[in-house]
Amino acid sequence: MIMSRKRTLLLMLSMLLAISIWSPLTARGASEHSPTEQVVTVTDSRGITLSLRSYPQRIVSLSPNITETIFALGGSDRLVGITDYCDYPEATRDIPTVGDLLTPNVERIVALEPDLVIISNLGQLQTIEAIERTGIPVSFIDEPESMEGTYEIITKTGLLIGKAEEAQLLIESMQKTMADISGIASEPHPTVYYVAGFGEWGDFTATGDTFIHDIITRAGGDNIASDAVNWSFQLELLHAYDPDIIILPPLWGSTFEETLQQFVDHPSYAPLSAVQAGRIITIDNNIIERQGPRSAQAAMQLAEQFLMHAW
Amino acid sequence: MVKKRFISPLAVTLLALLLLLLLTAMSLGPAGIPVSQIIHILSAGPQAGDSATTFSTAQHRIIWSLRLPRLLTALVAGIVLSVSGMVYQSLFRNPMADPYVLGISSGAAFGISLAAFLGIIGGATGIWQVPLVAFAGAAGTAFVILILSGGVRRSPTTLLLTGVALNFLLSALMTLFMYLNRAQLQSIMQWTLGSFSSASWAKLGILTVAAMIGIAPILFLTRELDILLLDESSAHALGVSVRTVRIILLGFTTFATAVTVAFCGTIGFVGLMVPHIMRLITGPQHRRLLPFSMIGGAIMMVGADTIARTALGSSELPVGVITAIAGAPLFIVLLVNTRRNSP
Repeated sequence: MIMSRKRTLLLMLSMLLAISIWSPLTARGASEHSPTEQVVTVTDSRGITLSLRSYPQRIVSLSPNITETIFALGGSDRLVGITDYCDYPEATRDIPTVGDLLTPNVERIVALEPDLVIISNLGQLQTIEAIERTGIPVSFIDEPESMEGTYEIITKTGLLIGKAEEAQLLIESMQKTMADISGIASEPHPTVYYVAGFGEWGDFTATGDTFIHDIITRAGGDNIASDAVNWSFQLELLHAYDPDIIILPPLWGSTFEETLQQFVDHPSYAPLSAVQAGRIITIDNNIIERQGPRSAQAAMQLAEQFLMHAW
Repeated sequence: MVKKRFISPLAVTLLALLLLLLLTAMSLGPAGIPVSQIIHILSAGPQAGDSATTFSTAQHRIIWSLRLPRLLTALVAGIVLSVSGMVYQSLFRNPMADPYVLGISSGAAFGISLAAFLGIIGGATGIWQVPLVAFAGAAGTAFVILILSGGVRRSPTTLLLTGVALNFLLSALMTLFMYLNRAQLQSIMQWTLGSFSSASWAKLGILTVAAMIGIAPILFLTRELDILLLDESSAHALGVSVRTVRIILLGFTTFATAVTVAFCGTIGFVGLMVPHIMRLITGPQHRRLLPFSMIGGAIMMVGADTIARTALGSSELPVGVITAIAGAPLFIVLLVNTRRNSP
């Protein structure tokens, strides 16, 4: 009895296996005949090609820029899960979160029964593996930290959710904004320093290897930290370069006014020319950090402020 | 300083070395300034700048408000940690004792993290509060060490294991605070690694006063420290109240260590390395060992900070990484030796 039950189970398992091997093929065959059941085939940034038998209907986005992109492309009705950091646009409030960026809750993700999880952070690779083991399709979208990389992220997201045309339109409008910016960019380029962190425990800035650096450069700024890497910078270099303009995004949980007060009152920064002359500008760091639909807008905001200070 | 009949040529050599190191370190940095300029900038005084033609205002600012306070902070911190290490080693009669190994430094960092977590200290806190909460944490840890290790009667290993266990516990609690309040993650992390990047003249002033308060009693107790190295009954026979001396010394050095941690974070192994190296030169007598440990600590810390500042170009390393790479192997050697000598 026991033996035969085991044998039955084994037989059922092998049948299931056979079906699961064949199913992608049959799905592909079927899609060629019926236009409603299109196949999604997207190679992600790991080089892994994901094939879906239909467009995903329950999507979990584990990155704020992907969430923004899905919203911008009009696919937000299919978002069932996002992270704590996905705060734009306003409507993200109504979508359940699955935890923070680096350690999302895998159980919560699985419980949402998604048919696609999109990830864009290398730190989440362990999470990806855990989700993939449960059989949920995962796409990893992480492109070079530049405007081209951003367009690629939008293109891939569009392909994945079946909004390729919308993605193309969005990219074209962003490219138009970027072309407008190069038209107004001031000459000569002002030297610029972006404050990613300051004060007690060191100075951090958008170094040459960051997306923010690319945005600053395209907005017509000459980033003094272009040769530095990994966000870290030394205070004495800031004084040695003494930049024309300082970009100061508000600190986490503070307003720009509070942050500005703290910055100009600090003895380490008070003597800088940009502080003395009041050439400190600001930008919402979420707009400039995230590689998404608002990236061109970030560049435009900077370009306009650079112009204002170029007398 | 300690009264001496003659000035040892070795001390003069070490002092000259320290001076040379300070001058070199002042010219090194991502915005490199040649030594010839340094002399001009230093002789121009702290307020000059605009009128000078031999150097730029930025260079003047870099030397006078960045590099100089930083170097001197490293110098004082080196003195405090190395003297504390020397005192702990004699008090506990343990060659491996040092503020970092015993968890005293972590105790200070824990005090700061707890206060930050509870909102007692924060962005706009005055410069005085941080050292105070650091001292509360460090003193608490020293007290626990004293109780748990049963004074000095137990084996050296018991003391070390107590320190290791406390270190684990405190760092686990600090990690917990970091997870509960992500906004403070960066600052708590920095306190556990140690850095001189936030040095300023105001902090240097407080640190120097704390160092003098912490080290002054030791100057008068060098003979007692020598006697403490003998066993307790001989100490009593020589008229030394072991308990009083121990509590005084532990209290004052813990205070100086805590203030150092408050401004520079936890920097390990300096208190371990320097007294050992200096003992090889001067012998175990504290009257000679104390000044040498001070100079040695200064040299080691200024050197380590200079490496931390310059090794990576435009960014910098936590100085604790440098001192641990240099000091941890020595700790292992000492541990192996102690195990071999004890039955």
